[in-house]
Formats: sequence, structure tokens, C-alpha cells
Amino acid sequence: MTHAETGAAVTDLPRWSADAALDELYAAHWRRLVRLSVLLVRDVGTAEEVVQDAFVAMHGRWSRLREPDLALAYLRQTVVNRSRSALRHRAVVARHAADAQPAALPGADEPALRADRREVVLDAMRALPQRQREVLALRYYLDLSEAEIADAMAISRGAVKSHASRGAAALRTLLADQLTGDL
Amino acid sequence: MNHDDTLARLVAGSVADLEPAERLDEIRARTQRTGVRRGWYAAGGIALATAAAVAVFAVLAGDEPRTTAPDPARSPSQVIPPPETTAFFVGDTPRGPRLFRDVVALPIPDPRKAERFQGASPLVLETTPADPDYRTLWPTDAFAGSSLDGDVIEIELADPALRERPGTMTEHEAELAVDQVIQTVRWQVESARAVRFSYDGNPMDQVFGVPTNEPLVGAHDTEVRSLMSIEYPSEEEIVSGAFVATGENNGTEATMNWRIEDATGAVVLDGFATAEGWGEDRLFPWETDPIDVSELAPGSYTFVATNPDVSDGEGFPPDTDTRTIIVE
Repeated sequence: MTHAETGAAVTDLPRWSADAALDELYAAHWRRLVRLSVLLVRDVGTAEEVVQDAFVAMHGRWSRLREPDLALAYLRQTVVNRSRSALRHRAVVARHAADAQPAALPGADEPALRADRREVVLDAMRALPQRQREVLALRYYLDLSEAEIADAMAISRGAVKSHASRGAAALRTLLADQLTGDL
Repeated sequence: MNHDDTLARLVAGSVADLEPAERLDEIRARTQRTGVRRGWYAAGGIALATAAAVAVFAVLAGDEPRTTAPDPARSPSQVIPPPETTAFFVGDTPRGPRLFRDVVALPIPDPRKAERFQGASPLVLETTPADPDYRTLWPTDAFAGSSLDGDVIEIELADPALRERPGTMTEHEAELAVDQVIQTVRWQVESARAVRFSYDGNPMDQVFGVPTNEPLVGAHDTEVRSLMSIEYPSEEEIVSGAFVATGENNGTEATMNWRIEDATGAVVLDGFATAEGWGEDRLFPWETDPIDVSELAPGSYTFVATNPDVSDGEGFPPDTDTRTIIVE
């Protein structure tokens, strides 16, 4: 690509309206962000609420984001933050719910084995300290770089590294059966 | 690396085929009411908080309807938790008053007023903090608007009298009041570098007697903030089973010590955690291991987070932050 073409590409960037940005980003990222949130909060309904709120917040902020990359970074950050507060709200509410486990997951027609494995993995993720869980979800599911994870969680790259290694070690122990089993 | 790849495949694979319900219509319905914020405010904070708790409870009980179309029986306000924001309040440390960071519900302004606040929400500094150890130095009706101009946030004040320092305010407090605004709005708007004050469209040369001719970036965290600040639990948080406390500090060798005291002040649990760093001129996040409170009798306790005491009887004792927690 010539220099002139690069320049043209920059000026020709789509000038999306907030509504158009919402549609485009929803189409491209809704599923992945909900799945990310499920890894953090375990429950699908809660994850959908969290990500829905994040999209509404992104729409309200679009005039200051303007670029899809920035908007996606903002969405990730918001999903991580709101997943964290959703867990807090849930901790408060849980006292009313006696032994009610978060409704594991929907998908009545899912093969039982796959649903079981999902529960085992999500249980193991929930057993990790919050920041380790967040780092691993961003790394393993979204495949983000250390710098992107640091940005999404507002922590240093060194902290990302240490949460990742401690988290991975703990998760490997928790999931030992799955790792040596039928993968 | 192989180990890590297998683990990554297992984790990513566990959710890869999960198909969430479509929510685009619901999102659109919420964004099309001009100003999402206005919708939230208009709905009323307390009712919202209750509705949010009910919604979460429904999810817990497993009876959340999952449809691809928006559910007409469930208005959007029933599922939105109250929006939260960050505010810096003033509290006391052995070194004198300093700022503490707190996460608080956004205040509910008059909808017409809300439109004049773009990006930052200094209005939160007009509210009474939930933690009785904290206070704000700003009176009510101090702020008239906010806007972002490049990387400078302009804060429009509502009263020209705010130019002068009231007799009841020390010079140090006046500086802290200005820092309350700088820290709060810079935290709220990541792209903001500096803060400028204005009244009626004109720049203010001073606020509470503090010179504000130039856009202000504020002092270093370690100068204006308490070196120990609890993020979670919030004041009067209800905890049961176990909880993980989080916060920020700058303590010797990255150590933070915590303890839980009962109503008589007796220590019933204690421990420590390691923050992500120390030294430098900022604060570092810390997170405790899960704190098991299941053996404690239900009731009110104080969670205390404190920096290591290296004063050896000289100088100032370490900075501390506390929260009342309710164990159930």
C-alpha cells in the first residue's frame, strides 16, 4: 500500500453514527463478549445483562470513542468491570436464595457431556481469585496480548503476568482430571 | 507452553458453542430514549436498586425467561443496576486529611441539568458519602456543567462565591477540594489530562483561593491520597460465607494488613495481602485471599485495612481505612 493510499484510508474511515456503531459492534462482538462474561460470572442470564449494559454505555459514549477499536477496548473494559460488580450484587442477593446455585446454563438439548465439562470449567474459574480469573478469561478466550489485558483491567503488564502464571497453575490443578482425560 | 495451550483450549472450548439470546432490540430500545442517563435518573435510584436485586434473584432462581425478542413485560429499568461512578472524598489520616477513592451510585439530578454534564460527573461530590468516615468539601449546587475540550475537562461552577475560600476551610482543605475534583473527573474520563474551572463561560482564576489560571493536572497520588484505601467491601456491605477484599495502597514491601474487629473492638480475624507494588508516587491494587467469615456470629463488624507500621514510634502511624460490614 502506498503512502497516499494509507492516507486516503484514514480519511475515509467510516464516520459511524452511535446507532450504526452499535449495530456493527453488536453484530461482531455480542456473542464473544457474553461468552467472556460467562467465564467471569458463570451465569448466562447475568452475562447477557452485563454485556447489554456495556453496549448501552458504549452507545452513550460513542461521541468520545468514535473509532471501532477504541469502542471495542471500552466494551471489554466495561464488561470486565460490570461482571465484577454483578458478582458483588449477587453475593448480596444470594443470602435470600438459600442454596440456589446459579442456574448453571441453558441449552436443554445440549449434549450432557459438553454441558458437564462447561460446568466443571466454570466452577474451576469461579474458584480463582477475581483478578486471576479475569486475566485468564481475557487471555484464553479472547486471546488478548498482555498489553491489551493490562488495558482492559487497568493494571500493569507485570501484574498481568503474575496473575496469569498463578492463575494458570491453580486452574491446572483444579482441572487436572479434564487435562489428563479425554481432550 | 503446551500445557498452557491445552488449558486455553479447555477454557475457551467450554463457552465456544454457547449461544446467548439476542438483545439488540432491547439495547436499541434503551439507547433510543435520548440520554440513557436521563432514563436511569428519571426512574429513581432506590426503586432501581430494588428492581436490580429482584432481577438478579430471578436469574439465581433459574426462571429467567430467555427469548430472542424483547420481553414486553420487563421494562428496561427493571434490569439495569444503578449506575456507579468513582468519587474521591476526604477522610482523616495520621498525616492530616487526605482523599479516599470510593465507588458510589450516580446521583439523580434534574434531567435538564443532567444534559449539561458531558463525560464527567462532578455532581457526585455534592453527595454525602456512605462511609461516615468520609466527607466532601463541596457544597450542594456547586456544579453547573462539565465538558471535554481535547484532553482538558472544563468544570462549570454554579456560584461565583466559590472563588473565595470560606472562613471555615483551611488552606490545605481548599487544595484538597480542588484535588477532589481533579482526581474524580480524571478517574471518570480516562482521556482527560487536566481540569479547568469556569463560571458563566469564563475561566476562573482561582477556586477556594487556589490559583486555577492554568489547567490543573493535580498532585501525585501519594501526596493527596490516603496511602490505604478499601475498594470492597463497601460501607455496610452484607457478607456471608467468604469474601475477597480489594483496594489500593502504597505500603512497605507492598504489604497490607487487614483485620476484622467485633463491636467491642476485639480482633476476630486477621491476615495480610500483597499489593502489586510499592514506592513510586502512586497507589497499587491489592486483593486478599478469600476471607472466611462463616464461623463468625451474625452481626456488625469493622473491616480494617492498614499499612505496615515502620514508624518505630517516630513519625506518623500508618494510613488506615475501615468499613463496617454485616456478617449474615
